Amino acid sequence: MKKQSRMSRQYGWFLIVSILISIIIWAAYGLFAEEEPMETVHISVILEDDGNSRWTSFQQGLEWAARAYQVDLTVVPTAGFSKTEEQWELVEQKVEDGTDGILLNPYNADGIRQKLSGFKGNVRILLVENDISRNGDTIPSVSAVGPDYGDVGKALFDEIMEDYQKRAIKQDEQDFSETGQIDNLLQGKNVLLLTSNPGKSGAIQAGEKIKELMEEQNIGSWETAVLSSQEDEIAAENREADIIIALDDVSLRIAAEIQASSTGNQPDLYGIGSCSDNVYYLEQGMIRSMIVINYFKMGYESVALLADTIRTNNGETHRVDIGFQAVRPEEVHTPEIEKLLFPIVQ
Amino acid sequence: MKPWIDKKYSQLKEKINMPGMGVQMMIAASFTVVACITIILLSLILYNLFSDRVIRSKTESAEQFLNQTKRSMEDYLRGNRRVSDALYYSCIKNTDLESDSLDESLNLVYETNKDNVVGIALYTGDGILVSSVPVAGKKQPGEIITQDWFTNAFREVENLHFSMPHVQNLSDELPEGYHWVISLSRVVELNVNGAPGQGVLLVDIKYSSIRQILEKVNSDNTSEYIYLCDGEGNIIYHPQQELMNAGLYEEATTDIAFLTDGSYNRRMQGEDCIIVTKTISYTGWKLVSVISKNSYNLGLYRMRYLLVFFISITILGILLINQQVSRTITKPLIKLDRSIRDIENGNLDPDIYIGGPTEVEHLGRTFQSSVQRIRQLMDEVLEEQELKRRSELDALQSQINPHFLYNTLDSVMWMIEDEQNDGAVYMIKELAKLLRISISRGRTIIPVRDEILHARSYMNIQKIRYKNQFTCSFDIDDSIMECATIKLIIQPLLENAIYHGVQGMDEDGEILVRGTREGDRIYLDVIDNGYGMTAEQIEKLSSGNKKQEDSSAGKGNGVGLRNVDTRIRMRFGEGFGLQIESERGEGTRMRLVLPFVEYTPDIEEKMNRKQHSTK
Amino acid sequence: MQKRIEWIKKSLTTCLTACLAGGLLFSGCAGRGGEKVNEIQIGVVVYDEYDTFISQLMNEFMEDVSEQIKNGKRISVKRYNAAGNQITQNEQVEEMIEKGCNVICVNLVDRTDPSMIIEAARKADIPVIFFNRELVEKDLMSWDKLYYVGADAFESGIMQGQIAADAWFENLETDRTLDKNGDGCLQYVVLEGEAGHQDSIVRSEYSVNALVDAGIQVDKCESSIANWSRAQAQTKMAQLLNKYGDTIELLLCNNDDMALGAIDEMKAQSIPREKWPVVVGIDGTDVGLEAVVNGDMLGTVYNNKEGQARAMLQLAIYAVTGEGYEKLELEDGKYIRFPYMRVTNENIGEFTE
Repeated sequence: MKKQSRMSRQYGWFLIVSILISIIIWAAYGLFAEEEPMETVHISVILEDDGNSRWTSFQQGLEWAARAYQVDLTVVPTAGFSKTEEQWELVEQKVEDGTDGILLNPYNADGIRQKLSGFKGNVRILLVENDISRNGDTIPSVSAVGPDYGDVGKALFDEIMEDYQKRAIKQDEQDFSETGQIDNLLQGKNVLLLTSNPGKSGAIQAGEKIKELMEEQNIGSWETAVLSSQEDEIAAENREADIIIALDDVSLRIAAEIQASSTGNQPDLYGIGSCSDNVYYLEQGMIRSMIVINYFKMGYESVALLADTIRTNNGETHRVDIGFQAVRPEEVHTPEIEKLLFPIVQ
Repeated sequence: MKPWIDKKYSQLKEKINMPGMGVQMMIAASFTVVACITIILLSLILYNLFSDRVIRSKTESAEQFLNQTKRSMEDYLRGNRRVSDALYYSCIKNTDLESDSLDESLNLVYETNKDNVVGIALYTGDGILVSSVPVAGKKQPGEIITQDWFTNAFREVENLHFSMPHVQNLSDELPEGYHWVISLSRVVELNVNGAPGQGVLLVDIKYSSIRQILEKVNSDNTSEYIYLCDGEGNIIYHPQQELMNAGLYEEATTDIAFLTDGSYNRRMQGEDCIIVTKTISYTGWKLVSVISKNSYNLGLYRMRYLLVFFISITILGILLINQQVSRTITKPLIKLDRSIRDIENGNLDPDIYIGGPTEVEHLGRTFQSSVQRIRQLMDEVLEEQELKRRSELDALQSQINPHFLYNTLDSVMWMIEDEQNDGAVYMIKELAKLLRISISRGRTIIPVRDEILHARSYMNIQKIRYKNQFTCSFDIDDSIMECATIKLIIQPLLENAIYHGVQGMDEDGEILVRGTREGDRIYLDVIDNGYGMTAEQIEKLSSGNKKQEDSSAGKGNGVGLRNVDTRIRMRFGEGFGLQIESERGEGTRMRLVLPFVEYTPDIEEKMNRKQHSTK
Repeated sequence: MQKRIEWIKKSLTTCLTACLAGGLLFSGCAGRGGEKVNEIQIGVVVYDEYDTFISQLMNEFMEDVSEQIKNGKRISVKRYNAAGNQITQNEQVEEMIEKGCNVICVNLVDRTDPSMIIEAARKADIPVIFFNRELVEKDLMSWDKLYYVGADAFESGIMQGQIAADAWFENLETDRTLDKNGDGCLQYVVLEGEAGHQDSIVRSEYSVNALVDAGIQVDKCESSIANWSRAQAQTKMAQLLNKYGDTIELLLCNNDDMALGAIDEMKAQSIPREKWPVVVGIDGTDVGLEAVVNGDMLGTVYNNKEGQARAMLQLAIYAVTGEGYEKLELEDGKYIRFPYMRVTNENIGEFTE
């Protein structure tokens, strides 16, 4: 009996002491161990013509996310590319340099797809603004952050329809007549779809969607053209079009410039764009309606997603859709739109 | 439930209820508990004080900081108002727009302030442009009068109105950059050829200036920041405003904007924050400082860890120290306890621990002396028992003296062979009487009457054996006949009287047995007129050691005088016993001193009990 | 029991020591990810990215950079716009240094105030290439890793004056249309860039001096500040036309943008070409050259932006890697100045490829 209780007493004592010791160790650890900061990942960004002002908000978004997610960011200075190889060389260069991930604005969807299929290695690639899909189905092995261009196309088309409706109603009011024709407003009109780079999947997707919708609506005729610099302007001028739809930022800007400098009857100009020149032309009314994509969010989400992908390293691919907004000239200076269109530059 | 608790408690008590261990545990436990409680209480109090302090000082410093920012903001806004005032009072009021141009004065003011000012423009009340610098405005009047800054100026005619940040482009040219501005507008009195009219003076100040002021006071810390909003909660500047614009961040401002200046505790985005607000004069804008718990929690977390660390180490230290201390105190007790256990286990000569604190030492010593005393007493008891046993053994032995028996039987045998049958019968009868009384059915206390009978029988036998070499007479007081006495005390005296006294005196020997009573004493004397003894002989007889007693059979002294004396003393006490008086050549008197006690059949029992109790 | 206590004490001490050591280690560590090859990280801050000359200069620069990247060089560029605010520029320079730029190119907003920038760069041991807006020599000499790429403002002023002078004299011999009021004096207006700006001052002064040196009687109508801005120049022109009508014979503009702004106003007011004053600019921007081609401007002075951009890049590469010194021609070890070139419709063909 004595021995037993002595042993259990010792046992109890030992238990208390070991509890205390473990508390001490835990407290010492909590006291001295600094919170280990997240390991910095390195991301390179390869855009097409990074000096273009539509990338301003994008780069701001990049930098905010870089701060929040412990990312060391490098934006590769680029002018334009003339072929996929030029862009891909930069990719390889950055892979060599030991970057952890690349944000890529693909110059040519097919070309990049080819390169990616043969691409092995640990460097994660994420596509921004445009992806490399064809006929609407994305390649599942690459993540992408950007707007759904099909939706963008639809929104643009809806804008055009609304615009025409409004004008028809206004016309009616002025004429004191009722045409009674709200549908088929675009019947008989010539539509010109412009893109600056036929390799960009976004413009293609938007264009396809618009064509689809136009077919449904039985719109007259349309044609597509490439407008990438002032030299093509001459060719564009020679086409007779009532409605010009510019499917990317560059072509929209050039089309607007042409309109600004020429006189006479102007076709109605609509398009997708974000750069400050386009915002100006929109404000002046040269562009009747513009789809503005939230580039800041695109920049932020792409860094966030890529950093996460690099850190979790599980090979999953994601697609993040970025919002966009249809803006009319009279809406440019509303407080919400102003924040979208005019990034506060450092 | 209660019985279970009780059971457990008693089990616990059992476990703890060991001497020494119990004391140690008690000391250790109570000291530990008290110290722990004190430490924990103290730590909690200090921690609370500390965290209160931290919160308060954070709030105070936030308020101070906010005050400074408020002042710089107000200075800045005032400076811009002065520009507007200068334009109005020094330029516009005194200019007849019909004849003069304001261009130069506007230009001057612009050039002086172009670090802060994007542009200045003056419009009539119908929205017609009067003058603008540095760039001519091209907007149509229709567009102008719908602008917020225009309409707001008219809403408060006496005041200057500051707008929300917005993008300004009054010229219609491809802008050399758009500018984020805050429009400062006021209604002014225009002078057109003497006729007064109303107009609006617009000063567009750079939003980046305000932004710079506020960026400077915001570090990169997302848990502590300052933002600026108008009286209704619309954000003018927020360190995360780009994220807010993109919908990636939210700040709840509306209810805060309506609070009066001061500091508040709010829960925002799942975190507790301290919010301090200050209103900027004139504009009603509010500077809001947000301090989330995280910013001071880091310090507090550290504090907590430190406290826990400190407390645990202290408790551990206390436990260990207490163990030592209590052991030091109780070890002596334990050692003492062990010594005692030793004794319990039968070790009669244990090593008793003397040491430790004074009380324990004293206990030890006392215990040691007690043990010694006990041992001593035990030894004495043993001695006594031994003596008693021996003397009783001797007495037992004396009950039957083999020599005497042998001799007597021998005499009887001779007598029978001599055909002196009567003599033989007489001898045997007397022998039988003697033996009967010797045994006395195992009693040690007999009446004096029986003892005298025994003595007579003995003498009768001896007279015949010694062929009447001596005579013996008995003179016993009647009053003592029924007293109690130890048996076989007279016969040894008679024996001694015969052998050392009258033997060889040739019929002149006389032995007298006398019994008298004096007060509460009885004297039984055996007097003879023999040779007597020298003092040395008396000494020898009465002292004589044990060994001598044992081997006294040679002289026929089966019992010995000493034995008689001892027995009497032992039974009745020190005041009684045998006294010997003798004179050489005269005679000897041996006196037995006994107490006067009536003989009753249970006298022996009583005496035994009395003996035990007196002892 | 005693032994157990001893054992526990020992293990406790060991544990604590281990914890302390581990904690100290932890506090020092922070994982560093990614590898950096020897990369040239250039930080560029311009005083105003909407200045036509500056933006064209930057375009040249970025093209050169892209070329070099295609050739395998590792270069990255961080661009900032100070938007006319020196404080902003100082902050941006600090940010560039923080972000790891190993060379910075600065287009000073306030040429008298480079001290903060020089201080910050020197502390971080990062070379600075000032360009286009020149700081005082004393400041440039204060540290050996400061450079300047630009041109000589005096030259541009003199050349501008000479263009006007040549035109005057030529015209005297032909149809005398230049001297509208026939008083033998040249009534001129100067559109100045910026108050207190060195280039402004020098250009304005020297172009007029060149006229005087050529022996022409000059009569100043006014000088007006248009802050290098086309739109502001247009407004100022409107005011000037208001004031002086067609009496202005010569319009000297510190840069092409302002010249074009003045021309814009004259076009907007539909003033016939004959009534226009002679307009001379400085810079030779694309639009400026166009104006010379179609006769709106008499001439301009070409500021070699291609050369300057290339030099800036070469100097930046040299400053970081130490390579390419031979290609550079440094004056006093610090200056690279490109000569201006006169542009009139005689030699305009050279400049428009």
